[in-house]
Order: sequence, then C-alpha cells, then structure tokens
Amino acid sequence: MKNKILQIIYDLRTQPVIGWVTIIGTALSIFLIMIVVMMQQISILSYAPETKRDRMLYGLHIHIEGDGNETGSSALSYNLAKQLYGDLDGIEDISYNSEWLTPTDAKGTTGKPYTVDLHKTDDGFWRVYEFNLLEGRYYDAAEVAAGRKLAVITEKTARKLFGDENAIGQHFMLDHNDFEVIGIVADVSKFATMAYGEVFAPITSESWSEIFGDIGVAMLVKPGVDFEHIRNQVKGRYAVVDGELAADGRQTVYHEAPYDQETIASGVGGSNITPDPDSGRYTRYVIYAILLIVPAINLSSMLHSRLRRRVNEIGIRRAFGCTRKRIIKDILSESFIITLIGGVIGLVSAVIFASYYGGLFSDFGTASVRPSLSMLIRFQTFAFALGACFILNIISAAVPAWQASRLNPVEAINTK
Amino acid sequence: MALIELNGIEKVYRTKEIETTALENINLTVDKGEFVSVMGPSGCGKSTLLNIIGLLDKPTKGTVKLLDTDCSLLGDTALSHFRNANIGFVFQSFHLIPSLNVAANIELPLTYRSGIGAAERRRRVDEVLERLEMTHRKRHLPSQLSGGQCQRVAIARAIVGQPSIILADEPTGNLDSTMGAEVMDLLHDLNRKDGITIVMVTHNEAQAQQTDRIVRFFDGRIIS
Ligand SMILES: Nc1ncnc2c1ncn2[C@@H]1O[C@H](COP(=O)(O)OP(=O)(O)OP(=O)(O)O)[C@@H](O)[C@H]1O
Ligand SMILES: [Mg+2]
Repeated sequence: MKNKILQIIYDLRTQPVIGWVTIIGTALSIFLIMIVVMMQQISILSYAPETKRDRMLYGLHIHIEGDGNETGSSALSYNLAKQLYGDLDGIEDISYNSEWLTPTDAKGTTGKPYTVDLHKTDDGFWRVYEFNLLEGRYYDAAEVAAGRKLAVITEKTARKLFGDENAIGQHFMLDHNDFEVIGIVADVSKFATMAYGEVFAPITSESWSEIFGDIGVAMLVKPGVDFEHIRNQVKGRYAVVDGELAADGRQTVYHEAPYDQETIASGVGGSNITPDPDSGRYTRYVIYAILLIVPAINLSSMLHSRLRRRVNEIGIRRAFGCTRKRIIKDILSESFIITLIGGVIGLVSAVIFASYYGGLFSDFGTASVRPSLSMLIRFQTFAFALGACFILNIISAAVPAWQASRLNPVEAINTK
Repeated sequence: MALIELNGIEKVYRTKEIETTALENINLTVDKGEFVSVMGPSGCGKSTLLNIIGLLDKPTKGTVKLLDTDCSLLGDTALSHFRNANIGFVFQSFHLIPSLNVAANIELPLTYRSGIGAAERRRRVDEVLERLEMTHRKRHLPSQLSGGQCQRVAIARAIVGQPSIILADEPTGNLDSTMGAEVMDLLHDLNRKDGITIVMVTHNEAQAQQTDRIVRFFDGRIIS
C-alpha cells in the first residue's frame, strides 16, 4: 500500500502531465456523475419534512372519459378522494391536502405585503410528514372540520410578516381573511415538492362538483406493506366509481395510481397519461453509462502509456516471482487509488457546485432554490461515488492490466 | 547432486519468415554448490540459456529440471512461485525499480511470498543490507547510487529470499574493474559460505577462470 502510494507520487513527479490529466479526468467524470446522482437523490431520498418517502404513496388526479360534464382530468374532490383512498388496508396515515399551491397575498404587522405559497392541509398532513416545529402547535382534526382560520407558517414567513416580533398568537391577513398564527416550522425546501409551503392552513372541503376538486392525497404506507397491495385496492375503488359513472356514459381511465416517490420524481407528466418511472431510470442509466465509458476510454489510454514506461519493471517483478494475477491486482489497486483521489476531488466539487447552483436541480427554475448540504452530503452519495469510481476503474484499467500481465517477462526485462 | 538438469533443449525464435535457432540440443547439468561460468561470442545464446534455466522463457524442445522438479509441466502461477522460492537474478544493467528506494527494491521478492509478515521482511532486508554494507543507502533511490552500489543492491535483492540458485547475466558488464572485482568477491562469498549454486554469463576470461567450471558456447551449441 505504502509502496503503491510512493509509486503514484513518483509517477506524478516523473510524468506530471499524464498523471494530472488522469486525476483531473477522473475528477471531471465523477463530478458530472455526482451532479446527476444528486439531482436524482434530492428527488427520491428522504429529508425533512418528507422523511418517509420510501413509504409514501400519492393519489393525485383522476382521468375521466365520456360525454358531458366533468370529463378530462383534474385533482380530486374531497368526496372522491375519500371514496378512492379512504380507509385502505395497509395505510398508517393519510392526508388530504391541496394538490397545488396558491400564491396568496399576506400582510402581517410589518405592514409589507408579501406573497406566500399557501398549502391547505388537513391535520393528517402533520403526521405523514415530519416538520420541524419550532414553536407553537399544529391544528387538529376538529379545527380543520370547523374551518378555523388558523395558520402554521415557516420561520422565514414569520420574519417577513412580523419582523422580530414573536409570531405565535399574531394575526395576519391572508387574501382578505384574518388568520391566527399557531405554529412556526422550519423553512421547507422547494425540493420537497409534496410538503412544501410557506403558510399552511386548514383545508376547506369546498369542492366545486362531485368529482373534481383541488385535493391530492398523501398516504403513509405501513412498514412492510407492498405498494401493489394498495394499488389493487385502489383499482377496485375505481371500478366502483366506474359503476356510478356508467349511467351517464362516462368512465375512469386508470393510470396506475397511487404513485410512489420515484414516479413523482420522474414527473407525473400530464394527468391523463400513465407515468413511467422506468423511462426516467433508463435515461439515467444511459447518462451514467456515457459519463463512465467516455472518460474510461480516455483514462484507459492514459494508464496504458503510464504502464508502457514501466514494462521493464513489470518484467523484473515477474522474474522475482510476481504472478500474472498479482500484476493485474496490483495495477487495478494502484489505479483505484488514483481514481479515488480523482473521485474525492470530483465529489467535493460536485457538492460545492450543487450548493451554489441549486437552481439547476429544480423544476422551478429559480436559482434561489438551493439544496442544503445535508441533502447533498449523505451516505448514499458517498456509496454511489465510491461505486462509480470502482466501475470507472474496472473499465478503464482492466484491459491495460490484462495486457501488462501477458507481457513476455524476457522481452519486458529487455525493454528500456 | 544435480540441481539444474537441461535435456535436449532447443530454442527457436520465429519472427516474420526469419527463424533463429538460439539454442540447439543443449544438455547441461549443474550440481548443487557449483559456480559455473558461461562464455561465448555475442549472440551465441548465453542469455537465452539463462532465461530458460530461470523459467522466464520456455524452450521449443527439451526439458528443464530444477531441484528434481520437471518445470516444463508447471503453469504460470506455479512457475512464478518456483522462481520466487528458488532463483535469484542478477542482470548486467542492474534492473532496479527506479521508483522504489533501496530497501523496497531488496524487499521485492519477499512481497511475492506468502506467510511472511512485514516485520520479518524488514528484518531480512536489514540483514542483507548489513551483509552488503549498504545500510547507509537504505532510503536512497537507485538514481542516487553508483553503478557498483546498484549491483550490490541487485545482489541483495537476489539473495534476500534465500534462493538455491543465482543466475547472473554479465553482472560486471557495466562496471569498472575495481567494482567488478568487488561484485565477483561477493558472488564467490555467496557460493562458498551460503552454498548457493551460481550460473554466470561473462565475457571476462579471468573471472571465468576463478569459477568451478566454464561452459563454452558457439552458435547455440555447447562446444566444451
Ligand atoms: N526475442 C527474440 N526474438 C528473436 N530472436 C532473438 C530473441 N532473443 C534472442 N534472439 C536471438 O537469439 C540469439 C541468441 O541471443 P542471446 O541474447 O541469447 O545471445 P547472447 O549470447 O546473450 O549474446 P550477448 O553476449 O550479446 O548478450 C541471437 O541471434 C538473438 O538475435
Ligand atoms: Mg546476453
């Protein structure tokens, strides 16, 4: 190990160009891969308040075909949401909340008008997600049912509306209605697309018809329960709805609802098509493959020329009892060390880059959305980077290492 | 007792239409503890012979028996282990590994041997360094040594694994006569005190005369 590191240092000193190009090439490759990985992770992995993403299922909109009223697709009415998703077997908790955010004018004691992203929710919302409650409390089922004008707001919103004053118990105007602040939560990243909001207030089930409304359902599945089990029940509920719609010549089109986090992340697309998380996954695999193979070819030829200078050494090692397998093993592990050095540089640059240019990651296209470091630096990221380094090393070093092991010892020793 | 037994060795190099017969019907036996020198004009096959004895190259025909093992039947891994355990090489141009310091160069054969820990390796390296009076150069790189010192390190590397055979191809060829004489003294010392069997290629008649036996080559054959 020590000798391998000394060898690398020696190589860098004697062949600086090849050595540094190798390291920087690796770093660049890992950098690009990590950017893609982080984009993916931010959309999939759990972080507050969406801490249980691996157990979440979302029932969003419904698609109805036929003639007459209420066809097409849209979010659900409260009644339909309940009919499709209420009391399913295997669900730990459920939240009915507004599927989309409403930018709403708010005015607090500071007097400055401020537009907030209003997320209307029920009390279950506070259970399926894990917000960081800094002060006060959440609203409960009774308060939601009574349509009380209470609000939980984020820290940043509190500052905008009330300045340095304690916001709890304060009143503010939300679209000409008077609301009372009962809780303050930590700011929510826009990357948490399902839980995001700046002001949370009880949802009023004012559905404008029987079928469509503004409700989306977030369900927390019990640990160990198969998503298919839930989907099959939902499919059955669709059939019941179909029975009711048949009278006036309408029918539902089932699009594999409810959706898991990966499907949500790959973009549910239009509400009247079946989302395909696989297509996103394949695209990603192709990107990874390209990002690995293209630099690997380059690194491979770098390694090849580094080894060409060491043919004599390989011959000597063979003479003193080094087996072919050992030659391969030593070259692979030596080049793995170099790959790791490049990988660390690439990973660190990717984290730095991502935390400064977070806008690249978001659907919102606003540069102000930055992923926090805790979203970026996580075990999975390191595991993935290590894996990428490993694969990069194998595909770039395997052929040169194999060739080196096949050298004729006599000819190798006589090579200057 | 025969340590090295060559029977009917033939080595033919085929390169694009040209066939070179480097060795022809070589039968040679070297006993344990013998110091044999091989002489002959350039291109007569001396190095080829040494490479075949050293299991670095395979003969086109014939059998190589070392320490009563028929090595023609061994695969790459077994050959490597056999070389590691039994053979030490000394080359005309030293062939030290430029990136490794003296101690690491000497340690090389031990790193390919299983069941010998780092502490034991270090102890053995120190022992040969002491013996060859190179301890003060332990941390130097080969590029910082004189030719004579390089060859001493190369000899240290050849003996650190306590082989029964040393194969030396013109070990003094790149050295001036004083340093050459020193290296010869060392080899004789190893032969006498440690009982190591040595086969050495040389162009130096005087050096050859000091050895137990001279094998003379001409055009791929042994002539005496
Ligand atoms: N790899 C090879 N391919 C083709 N011919 C070779 C090869 N190696 C050696 N030869 C030929 O085999 C013959 C013997 O070569 P060898 O190196 O054994 O000679 P030598 O006696 O060691 O010579 P010198 O005293 O110059 O070192 C030479 O004619 C040489 O050209
Ligand atoms: Mg020769």
